[in-house]
Amino acid sequence: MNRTGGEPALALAHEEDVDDVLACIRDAAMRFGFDELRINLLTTAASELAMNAIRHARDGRLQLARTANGRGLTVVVEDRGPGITDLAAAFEDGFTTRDDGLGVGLGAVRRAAERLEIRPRTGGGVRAAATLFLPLPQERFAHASAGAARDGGRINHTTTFVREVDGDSLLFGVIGPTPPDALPRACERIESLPTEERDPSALVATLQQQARRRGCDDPDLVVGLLRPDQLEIATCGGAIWTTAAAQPERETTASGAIRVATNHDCTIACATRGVRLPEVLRVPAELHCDDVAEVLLERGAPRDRDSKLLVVRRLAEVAP
Amino acid sequence: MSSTNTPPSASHDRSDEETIAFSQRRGSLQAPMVVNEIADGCLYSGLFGRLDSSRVKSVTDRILESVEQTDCELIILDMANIDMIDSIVANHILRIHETLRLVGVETILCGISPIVAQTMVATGISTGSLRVARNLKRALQQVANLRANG
Repeated sequence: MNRTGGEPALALAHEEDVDDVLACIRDAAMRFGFDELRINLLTTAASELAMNAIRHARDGRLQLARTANGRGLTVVVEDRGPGITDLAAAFEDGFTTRDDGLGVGLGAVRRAAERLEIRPRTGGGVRAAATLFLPLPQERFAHASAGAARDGGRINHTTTFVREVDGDSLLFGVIGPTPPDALPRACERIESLPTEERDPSALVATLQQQARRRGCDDPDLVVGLLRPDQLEIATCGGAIWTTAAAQPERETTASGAIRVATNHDCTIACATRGVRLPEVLRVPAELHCDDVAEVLLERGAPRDRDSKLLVVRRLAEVAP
Repeated sequence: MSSTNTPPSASHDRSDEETIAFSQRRGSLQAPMVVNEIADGCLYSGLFGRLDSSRVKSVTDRILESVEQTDCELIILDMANIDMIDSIVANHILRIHETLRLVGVETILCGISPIVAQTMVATGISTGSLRVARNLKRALQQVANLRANG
């Protein structure tokens, strides 16, 4: 749907076109409410994709679209060219088919965008879509982790992560305990998770494989995705989780994750094995996330092992 | 590459919904490039707009012409008016630097804005080991230091 008058797509024929195209994207991103860094990341992604289309293909065109949830902007570049025969190689830094490129173009797009989809087009060519989202409203989302070496200074080889996705959701999890050399790798893996991966079951499987390759056969993993109206969560090992929904309200998805419908107020606690959590978690709205984490760990964690607990919380939107 | 291993449920269809129309295209505005001798044996050039392939050739030619006319050994390239450095622009800058190095001219970049720097780090785009100064004042200090150290 074309929202206003004007051109829905810009042709990419010459390198000289790109300056003008980027100025249009910059204007639109500013009007959308992106901060300066997001504007620059979006224009960088657009520039890389546009230049790829101009240099390696023909009939390139660029479109800008608002995401369905209204929280993001997507730059779509389509061309009629030879396509990308080896996408994995194209994402690797140093890969270039020209002698005047740094070879970081597609890798840079992947790092700039929060979501990137590249697929071949019917009839030849490529469709690349790079999306960035507005940040989540800080006042509505909170998270806190608790846990430390409990037996006198032993390092706690457990880590937690919380990442904003799609401008309205949180991807979060706990990994551990893992062998010391596996943990930095695990963290690195989380940081470099393909931005388009969203399914908690798939993410658990990926991280589990990685831990096993590093000599940790039975890692504890929880990965959750808190959407505006539902929570999806997957585990392996002895990891556990809890939320306000009772057991009968939980359903299993096709991929094996647990799905729970949520209302606006939602608190989830997840932890590595050994920690005891209440079956149904009810947290007063006024209690701070850090306090919830500390209280749960104090009540439920054994004192003789590494324990890590993560609490993620979304509060109801405050009426203006 | 697929977005997920399982298709999202209907309530979470994340496909793009609304195309945004571009406003009237404005045509490219390229300010003329200026190369000045800012100190004895040191040139200064402020870069503007986006360095595409055709512009980079004219920029390199203009700089080389000035290098020949002034017998300089240093050049400060001011990036304060460049609002985005993608991998192609970074590569062009490195090629200008390499060309100048071969004729005995050292390049100092200055004026990269914090947002441009943050974007470059986030996207993994680098200008390699090029000498960098925070602004023109610091670049001139570097020139003085290089001179003092021979």
